[in-house]
Amino acid sequence: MTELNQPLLDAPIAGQHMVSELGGRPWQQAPQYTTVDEAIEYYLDRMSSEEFTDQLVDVLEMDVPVTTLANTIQMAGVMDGKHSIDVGMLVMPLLMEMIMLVGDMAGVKYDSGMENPNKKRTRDTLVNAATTKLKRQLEKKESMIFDDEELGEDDVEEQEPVVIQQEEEPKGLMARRV
Amino acid sequence: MPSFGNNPALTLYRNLQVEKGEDTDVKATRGLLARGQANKVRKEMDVQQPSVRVAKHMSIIRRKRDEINDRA
Repeated sequence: MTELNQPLLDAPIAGQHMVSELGGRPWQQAPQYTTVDEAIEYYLDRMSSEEFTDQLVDVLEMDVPVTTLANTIQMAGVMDGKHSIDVGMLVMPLLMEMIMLVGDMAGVKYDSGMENPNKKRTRDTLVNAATTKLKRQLEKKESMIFDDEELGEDDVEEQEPVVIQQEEEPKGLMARRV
Repeated sequence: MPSFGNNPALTLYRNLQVEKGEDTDVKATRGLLARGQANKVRKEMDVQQPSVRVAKHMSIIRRKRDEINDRA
């Protein structure tokens, strides 16, 4: 008889249904192409096919950067178990060059992805620095005005009170009014 | 060197530019007993390095690209 309060230690862990057995995925197996030369040959063959070229031109026309495409292609190769990540990294510049060659041959204006997208944008840090500087200047000016006002009040206090001398009105019954 | 996101392609591409070498012509020897130059040239070119081999391939493709762009 099982005790109800005993924890089930052999229960599946959360998310276990979403993963497969170790070695069940292509990238967990030994890669098909182990050398750079083999991987280059594989990609050159694949990329020279008309179907691939047409698709590539379409994607380039959509302004997808070449760097992104190259990374995606090599990553797909790793996921398919074609080559290791190391070989993919080594091959990636060649993929970029090939993609650009296809783009040039098709006469497409492509985005190489080599320009800094934030080049023409004003840096956030610069804006923050300018704002802080301006705030400090404003605070300084405000404090100066405040000091002036205080100084002004002090001056008034220090000044001798102005005595307005009123002429005494004649009080006699027969006095003439001015 | 800026890295735009997690994509290492740009850095790899720029680094490989530095390693890019010129193509060396291998002169064919005619004599039967003549020593082949292939091994010597290979050593000079340092083609044992995979990055150098990739750079060689790249230089060929780049030349082709330049030809196309010059024509246009």
